[in-house]
Amino acid sequence: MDNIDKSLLQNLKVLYVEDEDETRYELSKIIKRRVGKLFIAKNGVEGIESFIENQPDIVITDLKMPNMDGIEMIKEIRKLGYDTPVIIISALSDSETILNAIDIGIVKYIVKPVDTNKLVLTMESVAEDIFKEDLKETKDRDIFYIEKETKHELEEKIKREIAKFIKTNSGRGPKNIEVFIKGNKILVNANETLTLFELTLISKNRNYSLVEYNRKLFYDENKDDLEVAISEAINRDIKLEESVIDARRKTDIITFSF
Amino acid sequence: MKKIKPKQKNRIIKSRYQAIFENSVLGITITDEDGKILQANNRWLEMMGYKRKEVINENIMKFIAEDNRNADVGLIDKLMEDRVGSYDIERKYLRSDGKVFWARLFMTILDSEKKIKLGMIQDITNEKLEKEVLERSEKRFRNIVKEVASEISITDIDEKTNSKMALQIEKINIELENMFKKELEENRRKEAFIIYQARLAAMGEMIGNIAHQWRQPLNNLGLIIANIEDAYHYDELDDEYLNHSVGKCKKLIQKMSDTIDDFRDFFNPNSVKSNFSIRDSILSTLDLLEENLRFNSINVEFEYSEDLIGYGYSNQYLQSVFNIIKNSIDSLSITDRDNKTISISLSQDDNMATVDFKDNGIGFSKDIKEKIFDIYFTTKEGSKGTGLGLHITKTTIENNMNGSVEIIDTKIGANIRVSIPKATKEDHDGQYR
Repeated sequence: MDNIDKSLLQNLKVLYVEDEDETRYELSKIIKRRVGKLFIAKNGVEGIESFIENQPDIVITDLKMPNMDGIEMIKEIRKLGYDTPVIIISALSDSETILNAIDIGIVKYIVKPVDTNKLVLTMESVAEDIFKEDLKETKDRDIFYIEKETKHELEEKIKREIAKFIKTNSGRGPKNIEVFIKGNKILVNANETLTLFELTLISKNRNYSLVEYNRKLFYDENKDDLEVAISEAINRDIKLEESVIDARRKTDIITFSF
Repeated sequence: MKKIKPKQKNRIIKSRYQAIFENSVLGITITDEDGKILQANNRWLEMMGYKRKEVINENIMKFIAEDNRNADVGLIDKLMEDRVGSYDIERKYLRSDGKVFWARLFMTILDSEKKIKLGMIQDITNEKLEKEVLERSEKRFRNIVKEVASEISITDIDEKTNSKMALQIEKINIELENMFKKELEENRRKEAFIIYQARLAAMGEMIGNIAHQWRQPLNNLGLIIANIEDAYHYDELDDEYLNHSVGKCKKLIQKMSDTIDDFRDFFNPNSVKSNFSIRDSILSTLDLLEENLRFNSINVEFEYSEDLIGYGYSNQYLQSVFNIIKNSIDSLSITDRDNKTISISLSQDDNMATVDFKDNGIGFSKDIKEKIFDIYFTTKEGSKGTGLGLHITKTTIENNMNGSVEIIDTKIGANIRVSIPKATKEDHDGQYR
């Protein structure tokens, strides 16, 4: 199993929803070893909350759950405008339920007892679909097949560079930064970045767009410095693709690409 | 030996004939040439839902569904013209409540001069198992009636023919009695078959339940084992990990084994009546149905301040409780309500220990309520219901245990009340399960 860590799945965030404790505990261990990041929820309601907060790339869910069942949850997610692929794991194998699931865009249906090899293969095929276009365009396919540890190291390095950059140039460092490498993209969420000056401006629930515009300008004007700093730290050329500021949530969302 | 005079004998015969007429399992009418009803037996009135005075002198056609009135035109002509002695046909009847039912009609001429006709009908709407038995008895009936009919049509009776006829009718009577005995025997066999069938059905339910009960632990066992392999490949498998996982597997296997034991108890044929804990019977049934209840998000409220000790066959009681709760689950599983609940409460009086099973499911409509304990009656779609569960519940509790099973009217859902005799005082200290 020399290729065990080199999977596309490392580039993905996965949400797993299951109400039964034992099953959730065991299966989440298996999934966690293979994916970039795993989020866990105990029912449909929690599932939706986690989905909105973490924006996963794949959802794996049980069907029969208290509070809100799997089908309901996916319907809600679809209503919010997401077409995220969903893998169902269920004890139900009647055709009506399966057809129902297909109608709301379920990608794969796995019947309990779960064959974990089959589940992993399914997840991989879903991952390949997700990256199909990106893989075609890219010159460096190896970036997509990254080892877990290497990936973590890279993410840590990027995190440090961005924190340093923001602190030095804006006067205030972010409270925390999440960095996630997804294929040839680097997704960055920098939280609580606003300076005292900016916080004062929005304290009366006004001027959000002004602050957002200024911060965007801040990243765009210093784009070259930021790119060089990160590229040197990780020994790869990267480009700033986009910066989006959400002043209400006090978050800067920055995307780079290799 | 005192010789019975033919006239007297005739009277006896007549009253016997009357008894057969009134107590027949078939609905019988006697109609004149135009189809006017001269006589109808109780069974016929019961089947059609009319009182006697409402049908006498009415035309029989009034009680036949409109689209079926011409169904026997050719046949009845042949009968009237004496070209056939009798015929039978499936007819569609209209009950007083507007409902339609199918019956097999057997028609023959009683009096060929006056064209008096005898019609016998058997409800075939629910015909399944009875079919075979019925066909046989019908054939026998037919022969007998033919003979009776041929004798009755003799209008001027002299002494000689009278005694000859009496003799013949006596013969018929003996045959009828024999037939009745055979019929009884047949019924007993049928009943045994139904019990056997119910047992098979219950076993099927059980197996379905084991599958249900096992699915989760089986799934988890598979996952734990997959995880051990996985942990090995990821270099995470140390002593602690292995021991922890093996411990969990053992627990799950024990749980699955317990499930089997529970189900085996269920089918243990204990043929001796004994004192047993009603609370424990209910609790172990709830255990068996645990997964099924969880799966359907059904909440069970079972309150007992003190136990009740009943007297009877504990496993039959267990099966009855199982049937009732399973029925509630099925009813709740097709409702959309949020707080699906089954509530079980115990009560007692001097002699009886009573359990009320209530649910907030779809309940029983009036006509379902009338038929709910009938054999083969089911409201479940497709092959999901056998129509045996509640029938056998009522039969076993009432016939084998001197108890009662009844439906209590409620606004929402269903309430089934089961009472069985309490343990007698001297037995009270004895052992019970």
